[in-house]
Amino acid sequence: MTRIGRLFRRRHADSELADELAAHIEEMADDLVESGMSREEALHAARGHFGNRTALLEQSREVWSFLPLETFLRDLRIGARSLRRTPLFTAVAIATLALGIGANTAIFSVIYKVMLRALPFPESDRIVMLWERPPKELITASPLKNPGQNPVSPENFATWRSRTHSFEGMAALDTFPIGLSGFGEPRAVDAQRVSAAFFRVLGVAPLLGRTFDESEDVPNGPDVVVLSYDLWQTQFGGDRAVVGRTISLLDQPFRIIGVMPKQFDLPFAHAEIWVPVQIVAGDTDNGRYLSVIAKLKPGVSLQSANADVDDVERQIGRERPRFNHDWDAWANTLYLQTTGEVSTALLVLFGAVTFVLLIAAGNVANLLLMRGTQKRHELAVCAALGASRGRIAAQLLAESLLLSFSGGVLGVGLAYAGLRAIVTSLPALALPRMEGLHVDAQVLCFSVALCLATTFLFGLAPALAFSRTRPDDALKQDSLRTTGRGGRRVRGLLVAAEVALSLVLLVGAGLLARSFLNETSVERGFRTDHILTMQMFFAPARYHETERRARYMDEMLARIRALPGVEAASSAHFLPMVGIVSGSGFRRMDRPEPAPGAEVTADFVIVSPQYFRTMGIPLLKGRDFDEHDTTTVEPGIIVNEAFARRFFPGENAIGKALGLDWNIRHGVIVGVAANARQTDLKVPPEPTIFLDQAQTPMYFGALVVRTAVPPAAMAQAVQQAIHAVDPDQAISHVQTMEQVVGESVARPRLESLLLTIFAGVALLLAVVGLYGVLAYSVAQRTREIGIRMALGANARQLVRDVVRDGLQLMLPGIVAGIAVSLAVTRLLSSLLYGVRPTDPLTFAAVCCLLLLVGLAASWLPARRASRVDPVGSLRWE
Amino acid sequence: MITNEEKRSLFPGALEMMVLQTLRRGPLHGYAIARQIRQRSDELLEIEEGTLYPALQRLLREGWVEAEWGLSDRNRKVRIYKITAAGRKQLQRELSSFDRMLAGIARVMRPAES
Repeated sequence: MTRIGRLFRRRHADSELADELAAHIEEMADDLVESGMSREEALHAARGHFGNRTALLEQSREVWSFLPLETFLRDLRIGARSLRRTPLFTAVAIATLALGIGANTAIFSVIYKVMLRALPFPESDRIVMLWERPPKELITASPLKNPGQNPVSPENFATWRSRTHSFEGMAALDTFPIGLSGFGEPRAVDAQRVSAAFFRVLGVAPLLGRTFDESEDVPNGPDVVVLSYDLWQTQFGGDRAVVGRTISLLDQPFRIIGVMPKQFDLPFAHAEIWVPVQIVAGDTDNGRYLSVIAKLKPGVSLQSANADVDDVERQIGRERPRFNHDWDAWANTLYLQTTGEVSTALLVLFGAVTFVLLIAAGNVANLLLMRGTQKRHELAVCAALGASRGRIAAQLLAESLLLSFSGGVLGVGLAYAGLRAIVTSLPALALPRMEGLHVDAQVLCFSVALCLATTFLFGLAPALAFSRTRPDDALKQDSLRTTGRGGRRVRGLLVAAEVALSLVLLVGAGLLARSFLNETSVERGFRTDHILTMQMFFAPARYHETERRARYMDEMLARIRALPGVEAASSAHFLPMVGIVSGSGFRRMDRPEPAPGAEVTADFVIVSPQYFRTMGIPLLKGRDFDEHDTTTVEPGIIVNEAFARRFFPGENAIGKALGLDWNIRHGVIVGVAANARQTDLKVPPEPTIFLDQAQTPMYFGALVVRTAVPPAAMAQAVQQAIHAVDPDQAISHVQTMEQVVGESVARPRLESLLLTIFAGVALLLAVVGLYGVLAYSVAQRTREIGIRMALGANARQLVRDVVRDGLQLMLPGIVAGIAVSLAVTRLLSSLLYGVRPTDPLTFAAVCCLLLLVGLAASWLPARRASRVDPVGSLRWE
Repeated sequence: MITNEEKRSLFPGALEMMVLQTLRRGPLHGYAIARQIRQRSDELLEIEEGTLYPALQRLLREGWVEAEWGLSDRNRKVRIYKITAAGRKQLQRELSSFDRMLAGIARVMRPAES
């Protein structure tokens, strides 16, 4: 008979074995009778000699069983049965675990997508980004979010490309929205002007056709365009004959030469079409606006590439000091570039959910310990029937495994539902590389591993504790029902640890929340209500002449201002709070020209008349721009208060002349406006120069419209007014100013929200744990309490005792939690704004909150203790 | 409670070897096997039922013995075990290694006088 066959015929085999053993006893009894015993004595002796028949049967059976699998399945069956008998316990345990495992799965899947996945380019570890870094005195004044990563000037890029020797290829790129027309509604698409080497550096071949070559990436080269897969699908229906056709971009015909494969995109700058950047060698336009990517030659380290490009930058600084004195250059890997900014937040969140899981596991361990105490009798019977320690432990672990996997299944569901909600409510690119949210095999593997780890985390201690149950325990009188001191100590430690962990999370959440409040309640200097914004890019072919461009904006604004419901309308080349501003040099004309390297810079914002009225920024002195500020008169300049204070301390700035590093070379200050934040909420107002769009017309700009009605209600009318001037004008980012500000703080809000949610869950779990331990101990000690009441203890004393027990459980946890928090909140510092990681107010508030909630959790069991009926409790059982 | 482990034979496999040796002289039922071993060892070895039956199951599993239902001397329905050809071969192997082991132990315990 094979083992497997035996598996199916086990019932039969068992009864055969039982018959055989019965016969054995009878035979032995016969022998004993022959030696002179009575029949009854003989049978008794034979049975006694035989010992534990159940264990013998089990062992004989085990010889045949397909052990590991069969025992495991049986343990699972028994576990499931036992869990079904205690539905409340099971539901609480599974829900607790689902929260812990779900939170971990969600955060891990984000970390996996954003940080662990390789970038979708071959040999991506060799792809770097190159940046310029301004001299120190400029860094502090820099309007950029990350001042060390200054975009690159075209001329410097060209010099790097020809003089460095560490790179296989180097490409510049520049992303901007442009109008795409010629078929259907004109729409704005994100375009990237890129060097021919761009596709070679990223190592991706086109799906159809070809990409540009070096001969096309030259000044006045052909107008050719490569499409993204998505644009090809949506605008051209995936027509393979699209290569060779012509589309209209910026009012100019461009020939389609290729289509890139699906999901080809840079992780930090989305684009739908690519056109040659066609940099003019020796371009002396003193702007820095290019991003530069490059591929290291095999075997070249990041350090030597850094030294190489910095060396060239130093040469440039000596050759063209006016613009480049003391600038550095450096290389950053594309990976760090993509993940650097979010990795701190993600790791902090991952730490937080790990804490939540630990607390959840602690709670379930506690529940199991309490349940185990009730199951002691049952387990002792198992031991008496011959179950070994290992068998009992394995059986208890199987139960834990069932719990954690049920929790895991539920948790993964929760995780994906939660992620979907978060990702869809987030503005694009708030998290890089989050596109395509689906269940990854790797993430599922992580969740399964997590379930296993969790099982051991919460299941091992109870399993070991109760496998020590001895058979005689079943026979012992346990009417006194005192719990073992050891078990209580373990439960107390678990609760203290939970309190400590949740305190750490609460402190972290509190700090992030304070930081977020600081950031959003900062004095902005402008109003956000009742403002509608939208962004436009003007077709260069149509608006090539400066005059025409200036008039175009004037006409649009005139029509918009005439709309009923509009109080004021203006434009800015970059909106406040979008993270970008222009910066450039200037000098006071009444002072001698500064030495090279001693130049000063300011933010430059190009606006139309009524800008300050629209944005609610008070004009402190002088006048606003008006219709008399045209290209034929001396350009007017409005500066902000920070500028006036810094560069005209104790003087009246009005009427002073400035020299500008701009396409208008000079102007006169006509007004001083109040300070307003420009780059984002965290950057305090910098010295700023406002110029008039009519005097230095830009090719792009944002409209700002102050409305008397809710701004979104005006969106349609404003767009119609624009199309009345130019029906082909593409419009993008139609948003209220409140939305613009909201997007600028989307990530800190998300971080603070998530950490608050996790901390809330942690607090809830810890409090439930505390309550459970106290309630259980009161229930266990009903008789003791009854005796004390009978002996004259009053209710108040009893309440005080239970509450004191609760505090004794919590206090060590709070102390440990404070210590851990002081050690770890430093990791948050890069995420905090206006609050120190050791902020005493946050710490104090969190401790108070925990104590209050803890007292409330102790109060309920305490009241129950005070209502024990002494007579009833003594009669118990 | 006395665990089976404490009453296990001298070394692993010894009980199986004795059962096979006992069965070589003819088919027997479980109780008879235990009785035979006790008698032949001059009552020195007491076979625990708790170890005998699992051992018999192991021998069945390895195919070294066969069992079928029959009648005992007292006309009781019992399971009678019979050694197989494979069982004889196994016994041979075990006996020779057992002899070698005994010889080794003897040498260690009584070193040559030279």
